[in-house]
Amino acid sequence: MDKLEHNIQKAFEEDDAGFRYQGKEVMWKQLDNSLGTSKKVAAWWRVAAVFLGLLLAGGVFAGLNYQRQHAAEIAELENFNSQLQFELDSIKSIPTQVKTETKIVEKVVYRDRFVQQKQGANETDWEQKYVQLQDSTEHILFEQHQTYKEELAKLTADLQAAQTELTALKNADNPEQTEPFQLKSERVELGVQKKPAVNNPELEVKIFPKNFGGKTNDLNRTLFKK
Amino acid sequence: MQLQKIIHKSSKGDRRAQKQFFELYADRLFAVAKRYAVSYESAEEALFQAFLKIFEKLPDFEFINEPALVGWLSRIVINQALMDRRKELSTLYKLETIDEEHYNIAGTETVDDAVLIEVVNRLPDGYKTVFMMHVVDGYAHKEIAETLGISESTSRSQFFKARKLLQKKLNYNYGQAGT
Repeated sequence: MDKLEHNIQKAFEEDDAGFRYQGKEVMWKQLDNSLGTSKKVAAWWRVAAVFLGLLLAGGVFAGLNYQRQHAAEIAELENFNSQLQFELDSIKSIPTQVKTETKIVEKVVYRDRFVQQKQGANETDWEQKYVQLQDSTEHILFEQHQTYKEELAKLTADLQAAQTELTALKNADNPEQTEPFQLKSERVELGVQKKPAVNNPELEVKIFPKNFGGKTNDLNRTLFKK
Repeated sequence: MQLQKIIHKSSKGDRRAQKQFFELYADRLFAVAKRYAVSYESAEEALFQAFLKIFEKLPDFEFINEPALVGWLSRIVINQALMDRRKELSTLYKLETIDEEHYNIAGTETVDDAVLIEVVNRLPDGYKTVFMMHVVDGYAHKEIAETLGISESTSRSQFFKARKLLQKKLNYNYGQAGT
């Protein structure tokens, strides 16, 4: 560095050292405000950033989870679909035959049933088993019903017999009640009593068979005289 | 309060310490800003923005001694002032017209400091910036090139032209000082 440059540097340094900035107070007030505001803003942004970060992470996690779940469901459905398709194809390949089966159930129970049977024995096994089971169940139920009916009839007969016996016993205790007609007290107005006029002597009541005539004392008349 | 303590507290956000720090260096740094800014108002704005950056970066600063601190602070202020000036003057590094004003001062050894400063300040912006960065603030040409976004050779060229112009203006005896 030559002398000129050295002199210039020295001149500026001295000038800088002696310089006094007049607007220091005003600038400090502005700085004070800005520093406070920037600090508050920074804190707010930090909180917002954390919140947004959490929200974003949650969203990403939920999205991934949903996607994974969705993919699993789709795979499961596709698997099920292919299984159904396979079964459908196998069913289509089997020729169907309609067979009419008539089964006579004990005690006048008739059942006409159309059962669709397939030639493959394995496929119709469960249907046959189901029908057999249904029939046997109905048969058992019918038998039970009949048994109950018979028992009921028997019990009813027993009950009637018992009732008859009970009535007989009661009648034995109270013989009057056995009469076909019962006496009923009833007031009857008789009116004025008249002398019966019996003209036919055969109709006359005779205790004594002897005919009393003449002057003899007619005992029959005397007896019934009032 | 010791300078180191002030810096430590300022970096922690202690407003009183920050004010003390500002009071200590505002004058000197405003002088630096004024050298590079286009106007007084631009220098104030540059200083304000620079102090915001200084308080933001202070926790990362490792204190060694005061000259190192002043150098660090000056660079922040210079960068800010240059950045602001770049916005204001888009034609800064174009070929600049050189006025032929001469001071006709014989023997620069006796030239007043104020005259020297005046002559430097009257240099075209490109010359002035490179010259002051190199001579007054101690930047190397590589650093100047990086800071101003120009090539190192351009920086050197601008500097030599600035010096030549200064010498011419001051009627400086070129041969006397040597290069």
